[in-house]
Amino acid sequence: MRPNTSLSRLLIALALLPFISATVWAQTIQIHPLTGNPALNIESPLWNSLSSTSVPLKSNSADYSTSIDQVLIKAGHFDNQVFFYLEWHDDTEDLTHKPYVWDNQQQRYIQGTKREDRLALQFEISGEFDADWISGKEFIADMWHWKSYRSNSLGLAHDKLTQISKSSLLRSHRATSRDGTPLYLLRPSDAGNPLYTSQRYRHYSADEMPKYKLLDNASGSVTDIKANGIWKKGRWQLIMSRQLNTGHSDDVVFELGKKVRGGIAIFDHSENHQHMVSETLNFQF
Amino acid sequence: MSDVPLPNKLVRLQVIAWSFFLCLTLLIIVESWYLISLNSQSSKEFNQVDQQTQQVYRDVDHMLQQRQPLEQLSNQIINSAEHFNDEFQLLILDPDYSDAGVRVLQGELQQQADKLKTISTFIAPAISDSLKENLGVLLDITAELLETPSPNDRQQLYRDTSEPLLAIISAQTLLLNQFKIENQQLSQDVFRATEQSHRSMANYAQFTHRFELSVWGVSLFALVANSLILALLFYLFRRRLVKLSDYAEAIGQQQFAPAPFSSGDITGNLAKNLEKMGGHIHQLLDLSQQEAQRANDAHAEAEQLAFYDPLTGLENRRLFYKRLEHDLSVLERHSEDSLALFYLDLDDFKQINDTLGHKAGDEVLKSMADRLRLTLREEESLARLGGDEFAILFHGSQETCANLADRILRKMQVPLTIDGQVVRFSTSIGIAIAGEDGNTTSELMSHADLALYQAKALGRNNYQYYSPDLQQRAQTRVQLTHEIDNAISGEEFTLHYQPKVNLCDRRLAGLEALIRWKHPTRGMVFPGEFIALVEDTGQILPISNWLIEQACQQIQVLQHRGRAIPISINISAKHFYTGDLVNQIRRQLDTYQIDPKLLEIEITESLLMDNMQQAIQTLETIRSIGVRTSIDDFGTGFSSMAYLKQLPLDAMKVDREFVRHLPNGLKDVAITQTIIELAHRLNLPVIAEGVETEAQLKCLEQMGCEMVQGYLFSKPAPIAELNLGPTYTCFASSQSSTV
Repeated sequence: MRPNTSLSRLLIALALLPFISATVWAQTIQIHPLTGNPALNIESPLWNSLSSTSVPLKSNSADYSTSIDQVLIKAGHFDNQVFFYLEWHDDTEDLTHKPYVWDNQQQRYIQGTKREDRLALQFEISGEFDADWISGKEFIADMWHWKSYRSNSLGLAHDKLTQISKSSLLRSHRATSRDGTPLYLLRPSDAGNPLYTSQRYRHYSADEMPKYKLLDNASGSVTDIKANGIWKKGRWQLIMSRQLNTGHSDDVVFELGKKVRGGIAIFDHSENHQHMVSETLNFQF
Repeated sequence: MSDVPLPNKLVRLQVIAWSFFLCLTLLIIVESWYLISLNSQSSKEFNQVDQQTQQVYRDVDHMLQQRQPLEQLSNQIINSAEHFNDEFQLLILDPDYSDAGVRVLQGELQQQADKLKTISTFIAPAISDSLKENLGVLLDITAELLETPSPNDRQQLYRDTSEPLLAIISAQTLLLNQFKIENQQLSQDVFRATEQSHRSMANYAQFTHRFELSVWGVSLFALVANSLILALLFYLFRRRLVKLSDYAEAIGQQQFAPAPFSSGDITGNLAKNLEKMGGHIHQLLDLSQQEAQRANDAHAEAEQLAFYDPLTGLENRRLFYKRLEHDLSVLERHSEDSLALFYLDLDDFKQINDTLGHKAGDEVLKSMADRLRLTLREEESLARLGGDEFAILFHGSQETCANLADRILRKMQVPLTIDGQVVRFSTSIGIAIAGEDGNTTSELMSHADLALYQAKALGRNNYQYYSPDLQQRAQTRVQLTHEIDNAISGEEFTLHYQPKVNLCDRRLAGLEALIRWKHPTRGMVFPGEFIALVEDTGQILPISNWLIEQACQQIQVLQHRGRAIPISINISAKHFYTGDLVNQIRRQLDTYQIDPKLLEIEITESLLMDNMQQAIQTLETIRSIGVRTSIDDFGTGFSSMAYLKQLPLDAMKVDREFVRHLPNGLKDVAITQTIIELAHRLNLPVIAEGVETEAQLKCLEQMGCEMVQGYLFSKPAPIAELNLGPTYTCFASSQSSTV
């Protein structure tokens, strides 16, 4: 919540100028054709033939910072599938998300502080995508939300949709754009059976209990993105792949030869509002 | 009751039965009284139950009233849950919606939780726990919702908690409905239970009343019926007891008949048992009569065996002694008749037994008994004392005693034919007179025995009265026996030897050893004075053994001097038949290492006649070891010619009785001639004994006699005093040559 004053709106407008120019000269990620299907194999030699692009990251919040300031990305397509190889530095491998911890005083479980590592890829579906959600632009984007525990364990990335609107949306989150106007953020999951569910504990079993329970019957559009992330020697290596066209209405359709705007965000065991995010990128197919 | 005299046990039994019946009736009355009191107590308990039921009803009502707050609380929880659900949905749907309403609801829920704690004591634990759980879940979801700012997370939370929320609402609603249903059901149950209790108690009261009446009726009926049945039973029982009493009395009088009645009850069993008992008694009486008869028979048989001789049927020694004691006790001292005890035995009965067998001996004894019985009057007692000994008690004068003894002797001499063989026998009798010869049984028996011994000594087939000198002689025998014992141990016996001279060359043919007793006070005692006695007492055996040893020793001495002179010894019948004679001879021959041919055994003809077969066997054995044998005193016995030729003999000696009357006694000459000729026919040399004169010697030479011995050549003398020189000359002497 920012003070909604005229001065502040002006300042925000001035600040957005470099971003607007950045959109015009956005960093392009080339989607190369692959000679074979690397599948989800991080060690696949197919990736060696592709050039990598280092994407700089910055914190989305002034009071949040990490050492993750860039992410290395390679992208390719083979047959009707697109493959993304991403690699970033992370000192710790965090695989637990919001576990309950027992509060002796209250004699009940309360939410703990641990969070999992995550990465989100976004691709514009409609509107004018901007990596900065509160830029004031309205758009609908396809979000590939890889979660080190809640999706990676299933070999997936959580396929979601992001809609930023200045009009109120049911079930949306009300935010304030940089110009002080309200923005409504809606991030529904794609159709299908969910990847996980939450659970509660009324009575003590252990000092720490998992909040989320992975479901083995996940299906539908929410499971379109296959993923494989491995943390090794202080680095995450992640491959995500999807059909160029899933045929699902809630997914972006990639067409070879065309450019799609998008962005990358990395969550280092942090809350949603605390992450490192790229500038708006161009994905050239 | 104690004043009334009881006639018998049956009446006592009836009294006991009536007492038992009265006790039974009393027991029924007590039981009825107990049931009435039980009924009264049940009525009281019924009232108590009724009061308790009412109290329960009130308690249930109170409990239902207490449930009202619970129902209210449950309604509130439902409302709160529904309200929360609405708020939750709005919060998710509307991004501008505030969560203030949720926070208010959180406060309300917390209040409801606190209220639940206060009323939970009135609630069943299951319900209370359920309410607590539901409230807890609501509070947890509320808290989590408020802690979750992200709309996506809230949506996720709603997705994951909407079902529990609806479940809570549903459960609470269900619980409320259940409360209502249970309350209604409980009220109805209590009402029905109360009604049922009333009806049951009323039915019970009615039942106990009817039961009380029925108990009285049954008791009365039982009293009357039991009285009639008992009276009938006692009548029947008494009648049967009377019959059984009569029946038992008849059995006691040994009148055995079937039981008076039969039935399966105890009286029937008693009658049956009485019948069995009567049968057993009848059998036992028969058996006892038979046993008594057997006992009488056995007693008679035992008496017969105890007092009578089974062979002859005569009284035995035991009964005879009793009779003798009785007769002695009643003996009239001054009566003219005296009581005489006759003690008899058959002469030479042993010879009859040995020659004809024991069966023939028994026949002789029976015949003797018959003859004696026929000889005596009935009042005389006749008994067989044992073996061939008989005894008679005779009452009469001394003259009639002598007549009886003569009759007996004559009667016994009549020959008896047994198995076609004529047997002749005689008897000897000793007589002792009661009073004169003794006053006791033992005295009379002993004296009669002495008289019998005297009769035997006097040649048998006669009778002798006891006299005091017989007693003296008997005492002398006893003393002599004792002295002989001393003589054996004190070496008072010695041997004298009489030469046997060959008539052809007048040379010494041998010596006959003759025993002499050097009595310390009476001087030299000759065999005729003690041989018969030592044969009776058995002392002949050590004396005879001594004689054999002395002869063998003398032969050895003579051998050492270079003289092989045969020595003959006389062997008594007792020693000859003991069986030890041969062994004794062997031992002495071995001891003194002499030529067996130098020893000669002389046996008398009468000895041979005792047991000819054994004599032949023994003589053969003696000859087999090399010892010579000769027959002594030949002609005095009745030797069978058939046996004579079988006798293993080396010489034959003519008895001095025949030699004494030679040459003038025609019969003795004939006998001696016959004996010598007989010996020669049997190839036996002849030795004549008791040759004292030249005429006798000359006669014997003419008859062909080979050897002689007698005073004509030498009287018996110690070996040292004898002339053993090459030839003998005759000595004319008038001395007897008795050995």
